[in-house]
Amino acid sequence: MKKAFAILIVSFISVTMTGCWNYRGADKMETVKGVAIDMGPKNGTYLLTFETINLSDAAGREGKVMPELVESVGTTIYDAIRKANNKLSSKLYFSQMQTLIINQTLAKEQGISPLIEWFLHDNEARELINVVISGEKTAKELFNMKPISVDFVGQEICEIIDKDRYVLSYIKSNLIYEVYNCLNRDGIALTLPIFMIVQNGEKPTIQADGSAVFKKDKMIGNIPAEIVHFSLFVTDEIDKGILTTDLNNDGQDDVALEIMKTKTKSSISFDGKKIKIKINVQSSVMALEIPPGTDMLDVTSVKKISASAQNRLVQKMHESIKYVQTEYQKDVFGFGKMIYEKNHKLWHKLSKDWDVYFKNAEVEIKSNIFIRSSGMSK
Amino acid sequence: MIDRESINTKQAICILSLLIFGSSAIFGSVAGSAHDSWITLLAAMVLAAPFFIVFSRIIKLFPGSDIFDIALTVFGKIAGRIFILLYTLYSTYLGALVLRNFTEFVQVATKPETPQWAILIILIAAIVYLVFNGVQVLGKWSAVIMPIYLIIVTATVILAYQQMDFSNLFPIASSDTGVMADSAIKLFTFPFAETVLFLTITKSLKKSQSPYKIYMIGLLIGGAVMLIVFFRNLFVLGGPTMESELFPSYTTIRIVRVGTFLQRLESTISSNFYLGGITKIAVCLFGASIGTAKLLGIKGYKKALFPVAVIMAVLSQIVYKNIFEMLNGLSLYRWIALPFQTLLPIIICIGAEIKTRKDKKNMKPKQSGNQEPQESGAY
Amino acid sequence: MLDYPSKEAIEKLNQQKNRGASLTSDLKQNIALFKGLFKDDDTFIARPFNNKADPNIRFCIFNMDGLVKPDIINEAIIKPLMLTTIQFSEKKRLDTLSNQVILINEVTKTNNLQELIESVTYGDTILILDGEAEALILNTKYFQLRSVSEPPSEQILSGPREGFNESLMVNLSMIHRRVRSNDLKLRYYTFGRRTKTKSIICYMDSLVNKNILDELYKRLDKIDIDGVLDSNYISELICDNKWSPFRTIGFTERPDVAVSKILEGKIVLLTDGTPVVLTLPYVFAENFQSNEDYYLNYIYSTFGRFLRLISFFIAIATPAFYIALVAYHQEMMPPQLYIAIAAERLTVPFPDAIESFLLLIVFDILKETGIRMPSNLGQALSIVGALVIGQAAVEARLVAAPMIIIVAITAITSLLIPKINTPAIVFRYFLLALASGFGYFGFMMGLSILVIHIISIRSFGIPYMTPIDKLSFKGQDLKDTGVRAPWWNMKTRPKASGDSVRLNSKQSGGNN
Repeated sequence: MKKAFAILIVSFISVTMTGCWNYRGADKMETVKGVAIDMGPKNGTYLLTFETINLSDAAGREGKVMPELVESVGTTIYDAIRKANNKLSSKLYFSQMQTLIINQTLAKEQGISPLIEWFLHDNEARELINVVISGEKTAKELFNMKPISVDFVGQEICEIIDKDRYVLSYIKSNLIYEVYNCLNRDGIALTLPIFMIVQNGEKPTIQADGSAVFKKDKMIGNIPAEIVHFSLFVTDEIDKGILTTDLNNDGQDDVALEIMKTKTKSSISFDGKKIKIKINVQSSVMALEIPPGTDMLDVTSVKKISASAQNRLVQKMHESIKYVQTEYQKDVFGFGKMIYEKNHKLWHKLSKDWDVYFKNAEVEIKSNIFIRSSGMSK
Repeated sequence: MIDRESINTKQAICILSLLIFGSSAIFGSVAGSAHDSWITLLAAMVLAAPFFIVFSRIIKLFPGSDIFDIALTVFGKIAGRIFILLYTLYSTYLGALVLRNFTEFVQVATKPETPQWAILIILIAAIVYLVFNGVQVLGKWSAVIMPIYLIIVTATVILAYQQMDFSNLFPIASSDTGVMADSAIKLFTFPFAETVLFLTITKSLKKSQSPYKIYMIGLLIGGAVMLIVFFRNLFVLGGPTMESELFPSYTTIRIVRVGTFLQRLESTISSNFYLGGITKIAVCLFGASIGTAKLLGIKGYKKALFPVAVIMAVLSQIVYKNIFEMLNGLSLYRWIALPFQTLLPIIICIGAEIKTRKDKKNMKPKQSGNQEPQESGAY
Repeated sequence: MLDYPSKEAIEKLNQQKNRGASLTSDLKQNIALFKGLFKDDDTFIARPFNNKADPNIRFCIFNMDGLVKPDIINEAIIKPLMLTTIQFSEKKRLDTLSNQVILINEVTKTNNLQELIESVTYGDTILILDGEAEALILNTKYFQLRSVSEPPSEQILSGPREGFNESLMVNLSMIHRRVRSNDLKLRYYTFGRRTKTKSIICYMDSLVNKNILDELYKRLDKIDIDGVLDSNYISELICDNKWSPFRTIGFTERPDVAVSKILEGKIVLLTDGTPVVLTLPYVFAENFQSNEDYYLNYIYSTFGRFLRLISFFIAIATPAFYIALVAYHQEMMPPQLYIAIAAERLTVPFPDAIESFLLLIVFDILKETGIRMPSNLGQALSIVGALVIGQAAVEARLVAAPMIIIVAITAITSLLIPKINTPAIVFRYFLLALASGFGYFGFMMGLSILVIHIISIRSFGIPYMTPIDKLSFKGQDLKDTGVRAPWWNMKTRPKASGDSVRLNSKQSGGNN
């Protein structure tokens, strides 16, 4: 009897008085949806802006949630995060965080490695955070915009990036763990999407526009959106998208093809002096916009359309590769990675001067577009 | 009469496999050569196979008894007792190590503010309860846990398919051969050769069961599961992340998502770890308490159970100062563990062989005087 | 168990009471003896009478008012004894009476006073003949019984609707009618020093496991208790694991269930005075089986079994899992759900764990009340329960709406599996406490302890988790646990009853 009593008391004590250190009532947390990092007022400090969920209106029938911005300054990222508690009654909670926006000046001057350190180490912050660069002067002004479809900018950015894969394929994104992989891996340069503020009719809103190119972890420039789109063809990261082309050569695009499936196969070879790359794109499309009067049942006109699209694609891909080669000389396509994976000894030889090799690389592109159908009408 | 002590072959295989991948699946890779960890894993398996044959031979020569009794029979009272002492110490040490791995994981990955001893108390309670109920319950527990474990691993692999990037596999074998050999030895000592501790509970095996089958099938299943886990982590995470994360399997699951609904499934992998870890520590605790009981001349291991459990728990807290020591400790641990896993079993095996041949020659009935499971009476 | 004198002391006491007491040949002395024994018991009737033809033949009958049918006594005992001319042979006068005169179906001759007391208090009539030191016990039992109806706790959609009632004989008749074989063995047993309750052990001789039978007898012999009013008294005294909340002895109120268990090789224990019979041994899988499974289509039954299995886990784990999720692992919830729950939490004063604990207690109170209260208050209670507690509490911001839903789910699923309500309650609070303290880790540890517990207990030597813990994937072992295989597929008897004779009967229906 006494034994049972003792066990009961011990278990009661151990459960109620211990172990509840990590107990977090959901109302005692400020949930962060997105973080923007800018330079702080003093040299060497950071200004962090947190977009948090304001739940005060949420209970009750309408259930509206509103974003709330909290700013904080600190000498390191984590310092700034903790200092935010000077303003808040609850602790910041990062498990729902979806976006990290970085000021482009900061990225250019300091590099992003120290900025993402904390988010990689902390166990609350997830590996699925989207890292983006702000195309405006500061990062935090993106949070001032009202998103179109959802309540939070952080969430909107994340959803734009996620959906883009299946709709447009204009954004090359990197989750934070992929960023880490890129930075520490040989043979590929990091790129991150850029978000800007644009006018949408009356109200301003955010929009993705191109990518930022990095040398190691410092940003050196940006690539326009169109170039990014075609560079995705080179790296086989297209899921869906459209191809337009100009059939009658009158300067106006009159054909739009929706890509159903596309696969890019690349092979790389080194002839002692130059890198030679062969790229082969196989796509299967649906023709959704054709010049009026074209007869789709006619084999020759279908062939004409696909030939024109193929030329356009090859030309654009060449353009995008050339652009990166001349403007930045940074291998964003991952050609170096391909060499590393096939033959790492060769890579060790070439890696020191890889930028030069990349700049002088010869690329040969072939494209084959197969028009499967033309939608509901001929 | 009612058979309360024996475990059948399937249950034994489950115990063995859980011993192998129970705590290693959460680590998911080996430091130093994360990228090629699967090659080192295969090498470790090949390295372990002959030793498993040695282990099985020991049981085959003396069916129905455990390594403590064999040591006593083969080497006599004094040397035998030294063997028992050594293995008891090893069991306790290993149990403390795994306990520490466990509480570190819980603290680091899920609850940073909870002190480790709080987690420890609950954990020890469950494990002591398991060991208290005997080997047969351990066998049944493994038989119940194994399908759950396998289903969860399979499910995570299937769900992770979308996030897998198969090019992460290349380049193959790009790490230094020296580093790879180093990792292979690490994998050999932790976890494969730890199955020597299974010999402490072999009293529950009957003569008709083949220990070779148990060990070999256990090796295959355990190795296969670990291989699958390694591959899954490699494909999803890629080399650099796998290298830098403390618990790559856990990180992999955090990334896995299917659509918007099926995500954030890390609780599944952590439950796997809890279940596997409990089994492994339970076997260590068995070994330690049975050994202690034999050393001190106590009949039955239950009386020795609680003190040994407490010692193991306390030891787990003091054995390392922080998590870095724990991770580095693996390099030191293997040199300590190697003699227990390789040298001593070989000595025992040779001794057992000699003894049985001698007995056969002398036509003594001692060879057949192996204790039947029921007569052990001690449990 | 209360402190009461030991068996030997009671016997001595009884003997002291009856000291010097035994039947003599003198009628008057015997009548005085019985009247003395039943002093202050006004229901005891003594009726002396003579034979008409020969007034020297004097009889006396004793019976208890209310337990006997007067018609039988009048017509079958008094009338023939009084009116017929009796030719006695020299000795064995009582034998002549029972063979030729008395028109009763069951007659026993005895001079054991204890036996006479027991039978007269059960409704038999005692006949004493002047000049004989023995008495005849005549069966005249007649008492009011509840009519045979479907037991309210085990109702089914379609199938037999008979249920046991409080009379041992009636229950026995229901079983006997269903098993028309001499292989069915029935043995009497008496429990309870003061109540002397009768019970019967039934089993099929060729199917039962003799080891279990021996073990059962051993344990029954050890029982030492004042009275047995319900079979649960017995079941708690003979079960394997005294501290475990899980049942290791099954119970039922339906004859078809009892007979199906007998046909599986199990042993059934019927007790007088209660419609609940015990079946042993009893394994975990039986918690989820219902006799209705066999009367309906196998697909429907399999679905029902799955539901019950899942309900078990839901009933135990839901509050704990919810607390672990909401209080420790918020990152596991999708963002929308998280926002909804967080918003609710803002308005509520208590932390989640305390709130769930309170609500569970409230619900258990409601459930208890529903059982105990008079049925005409039922309407009022459901209104009070549902509206007041649910609706108003949420609107008054005392509890959060998600919590009500969780508790409701838990409650409904726990009503689905009445046989494991005790373990469900125990483990529900246990898991809740662990999850509140340690989050998901505590939840998993609690589940592990639950699994270890179920694995380690035995029912009369049979492991409780047969056949799952042997990890055998043979269809024949699993065909009756999670699923219900169609009748044409059930060829062997389940091993659960302990490796008895496994006859493969080619005809269908060789099982259950």
